[in-house]
Amino acid sequence: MNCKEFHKLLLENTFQELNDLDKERIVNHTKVCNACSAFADKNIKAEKLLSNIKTSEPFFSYEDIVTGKIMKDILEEEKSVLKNFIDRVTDFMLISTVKFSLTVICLFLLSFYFYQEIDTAGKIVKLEERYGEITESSIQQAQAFSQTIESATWLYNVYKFFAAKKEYFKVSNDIIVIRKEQLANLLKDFNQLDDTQKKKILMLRNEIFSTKDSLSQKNFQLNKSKISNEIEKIIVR
Amino acid sequence: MQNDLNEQEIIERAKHGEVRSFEWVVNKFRRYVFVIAFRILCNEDEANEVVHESFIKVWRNFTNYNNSIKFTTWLYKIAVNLCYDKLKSRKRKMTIDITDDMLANLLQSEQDPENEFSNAQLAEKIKLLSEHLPPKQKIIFVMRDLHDLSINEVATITGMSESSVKTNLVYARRTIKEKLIRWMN
Repeated sequence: MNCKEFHKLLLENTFQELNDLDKERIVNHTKVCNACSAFADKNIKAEKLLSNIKTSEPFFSYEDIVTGKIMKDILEEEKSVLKNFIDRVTDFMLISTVKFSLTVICLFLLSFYFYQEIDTAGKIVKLEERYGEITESSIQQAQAFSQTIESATWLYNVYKFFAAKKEYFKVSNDIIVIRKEQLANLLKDFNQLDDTQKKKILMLRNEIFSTKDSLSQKNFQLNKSKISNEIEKIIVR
Repeated sequence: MQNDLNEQEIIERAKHGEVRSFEWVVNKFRRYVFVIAFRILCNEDEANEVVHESFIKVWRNFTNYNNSIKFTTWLYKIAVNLCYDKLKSRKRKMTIDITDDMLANLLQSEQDPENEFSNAQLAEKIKLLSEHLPPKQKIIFVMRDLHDLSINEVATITGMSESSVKTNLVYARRTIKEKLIRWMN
């Protein structure tokens, strides 16, 4: 190693960074060259000085207040960004061509909305009509069904009664459920009859119930039907 | 909240605009930025300004932060760029008339390694050593030799190639050491 190379290695690197071979060459050269040995001593001092500076950290006197100041600035900036945006939007909205365009767009959207509403209403009406047809056919089907099955007839009458399509329904031979208004009308009709007619009706009624135990069910029904017709004739007359 | 989350999660939240997480980030890294800025600028007030401006810049550009690099590297990059601008914009090159006292003071610190320097003393020492360096060399010298960052980190922060960083570092070290050894003579 010559002196030039020795100086170059020490000036351009820290001693610690050198590889083992270079370190050995440096040490060996200092043994044979007094000038370079003195230079090496000064280099060691220089590196120590740099090391001292490196380990000494500056004191951050501003540390306790810096975060507060930064956060304050950031929040203010955020606010001003929002304000600027609103201002720009407002300015933009005030331009006459923009106002006109927005009005046209609003009207278009409004008309589109109403068109949708009318269209939907039309569809609902059609659906209701269709539903009406379905209901009507269901009633007819139910009627046909009730004619074949006797127990279903009773249920059908109950259904009709509650659907307000019949004035009464018969629970049993002795009990009949009748609407209040219908009962009032019947009593009114009965009261309009003269005394002879009233006596005749009451007599026929008693006749129905007096034959209840003596007649078979079928004959009782026939008799009841016959007497009922007679009563109806009296009332209609 | 912050105790339950790791550093990366908090940084991620701050990146998405969460103010409390950002405040945590400022508290955590403000000293790092101050120390490097002080060492580069050798001026406490300017270093304070860099801390302030760096974090404002981080907040504004957080969405550009790429998670593949360390957050501190990205933060240093911002701070070092601000320092570089300040170094370049100094109206006149600061020259120091080196007095015997200053030299004695500087060389004394080598004799007394336990010596605690005040900010003014420390600034003066770094200034004495590095004031004649071009800004780029000064920044590289501070980051590598005073701040102990790796060559790779310095290259990432400065945007230079590793070989270019090494070359600049060699020039900086040579200038500083030659100056010191000359004073010792």
